[in-house]
Amino acid sequence: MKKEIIDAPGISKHLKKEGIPLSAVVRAGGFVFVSGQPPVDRKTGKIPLVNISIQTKMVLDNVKVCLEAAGSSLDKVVKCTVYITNAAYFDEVNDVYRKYFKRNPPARVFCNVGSWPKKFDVEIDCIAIV
Amino acid sequence: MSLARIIVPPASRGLDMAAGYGWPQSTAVRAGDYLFVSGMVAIDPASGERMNGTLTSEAHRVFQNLKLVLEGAGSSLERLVQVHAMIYDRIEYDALNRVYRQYVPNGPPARTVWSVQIIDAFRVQLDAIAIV
Repeated sequence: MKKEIIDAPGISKHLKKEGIPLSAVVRAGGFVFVSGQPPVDRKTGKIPLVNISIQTKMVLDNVKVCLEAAGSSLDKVVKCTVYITNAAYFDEVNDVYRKYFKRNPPARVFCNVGSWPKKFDVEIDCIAIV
Repeated sequence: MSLARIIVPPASRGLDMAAGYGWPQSTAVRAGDYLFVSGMVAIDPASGERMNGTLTSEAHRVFQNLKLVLEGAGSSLERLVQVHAMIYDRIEYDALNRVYRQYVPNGPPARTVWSVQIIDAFRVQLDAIAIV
């Protein structure tokens, strides 16, 4: 089985520039593995200070870009993990999440974690089929 | 499609957390050509003793242990596809990256890092999926 590193438009180049040792997307066999996506603006590579709903939307848009770069899509996600710095954001995250996974949503874990070195509150990673 | 679920014992006995500590987990499980590796912490692969230390020392130990487990299962660090990296404090993010680059210099796996309290006061834990 072959392991392929997929270039995610507007995402991989910023990671490379910052020297962060991860691939945004890896495809192997029939599965696609997407790294935890922070709410990064794909144009600037920066993380704006915005509320949790907008952060969640940015994160899921980035996940979508990663999946589509690998020939997959949101409706082919089998499992998502949502990492959040404050469990009280559960409802706000879900309200946005539902718009991206309208029917038969994937398996999911919702993890309350400590904060990251930058000022943001949510990341989502996933495994999908091609 | 029906896959067999194969428990792959670690190449070094010290890494068997079920045998050494009674933890109800297998170090690695293979299904098809995918290998699922349990959360790895800084354990002496020969004696099974905890090697709590700095994040840097623990991360080296964890990667060396992960290499033993992967290679014992017919995989390798180069064939990692996804890693979950837990650290005890966000302040160590750069320290983790410095060690991390040494072990997966080219085509690194997908990765998510988060900070969380780790079992037995370890400073880093990695779980992983690799292809065989």
